Amino acid sequence: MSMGTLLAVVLLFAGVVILFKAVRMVPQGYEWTVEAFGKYTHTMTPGLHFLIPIYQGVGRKINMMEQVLEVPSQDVITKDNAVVKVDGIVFFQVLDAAKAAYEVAQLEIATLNLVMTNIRTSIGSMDLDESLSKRDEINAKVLVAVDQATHPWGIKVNRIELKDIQPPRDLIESMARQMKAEREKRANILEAEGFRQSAILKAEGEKQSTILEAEGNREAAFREAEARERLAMAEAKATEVVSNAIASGNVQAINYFVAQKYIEAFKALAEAPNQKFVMMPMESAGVIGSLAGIGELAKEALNQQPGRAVAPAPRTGG
Amino acid sequence: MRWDVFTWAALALVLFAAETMAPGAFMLWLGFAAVVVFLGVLLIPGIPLLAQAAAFIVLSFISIQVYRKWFRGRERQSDQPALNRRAAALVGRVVPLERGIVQGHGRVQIADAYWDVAGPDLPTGATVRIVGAEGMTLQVEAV
Repeated sequence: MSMGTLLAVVLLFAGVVILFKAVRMVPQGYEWTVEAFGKYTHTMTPGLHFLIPIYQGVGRKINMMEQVLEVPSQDVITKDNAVVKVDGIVFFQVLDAAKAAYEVAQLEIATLNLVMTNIRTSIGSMDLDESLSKRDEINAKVLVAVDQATHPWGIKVNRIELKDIQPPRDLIESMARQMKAEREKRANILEAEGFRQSAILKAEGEKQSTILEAEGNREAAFREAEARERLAMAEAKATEVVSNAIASGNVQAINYFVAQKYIEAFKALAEAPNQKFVMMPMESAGVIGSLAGIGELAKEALNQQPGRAVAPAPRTGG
Repeated sequence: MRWDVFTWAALALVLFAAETMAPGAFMLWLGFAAVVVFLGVLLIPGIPLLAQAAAFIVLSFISIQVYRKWFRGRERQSDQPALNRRAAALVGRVVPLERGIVQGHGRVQIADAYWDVAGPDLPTGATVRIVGAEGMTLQVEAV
């Protein structure tokens, strides 16, 4: 290989290396800082850039996308001296590549430590119940504090989320017991209330039914009395009519009615399927005696036959 | 067969192939330089190797500069110019003040993040329009 060829190969090699150092392509999502002899001059945004070889070089390659950091689990003491385990996540994004590159060493570790101390401060000022229920408040408080503190580093903390706040096991157990007791209490109260309500309803029902029954009885008594009154009036009227009839006719006519009623009653008695043996009251003989009265009535009627076909019974005075 | 003609042609093709493998408008321009050198050695036989290498290097720089100065102004613009620039992406939004602006400084909440704002003094809850972004601080004006 001649001297010229060797020189050409070396030149080509050096040229290509310098070319690759001079022409830099920054991918989307990143920004690269440019240093001139080690001093920051400017920041390259995504795209193709041309650097003066040797004089300028790429300093730091900064990720401009939102990033997530895991906050490792740590023990935190609450205001009421309960030790809880807390972990979380932080979302942040670099807004100023130069500051993020040069204002802070180990940006992520610095941010994480800031978040951890702020979580401790925040939870340390609350008691356990508060810290368990006011997670949003803690998140916001830590976020504001950390965001302010990280401004000089050119980063924006977009969100801090406490993933888990875990009290010690025995505390969890007693909390569960407390909750169970609370629910049992509520169940018992509800049950008792149910019983009370049902007893009241039952008593009220009984009261109502008694009242309705009494009212019914009253109404029935009224109607019965009315009926009796009407009956008495009817009887009085009937008696009056009968007595008028008797007054204007023969007294024997009454015997006719009695005898007819008596025979009817006797017939009904005789037809009754289960009563063939009839005990006659003593007075019945007297009633039968009235048949003789009927005979007399007939005789009297027959005696007057030639004169009047149907003669009213002669007045006998009454 | 002239091996230098063959080599430059092959180099140009390799560079074009590399560009398709890893696009970035960079290998492409080196490829164009190789093509020019290839045409040079094809048409004018007897160019010394050293001169060929030097020509390739110089042409590469020139072609990349031509791309930077000439083509970049004409290339298609990103339809997401605010990509990865969170503050710039917020310009134009109207938001209420989370903390009133006192002596030019206040705070707003956008999504979950709190942003410092600068603008005329306004009470808490007043709505403002974001008109610009300066580092971490948003410039606002009263709506």
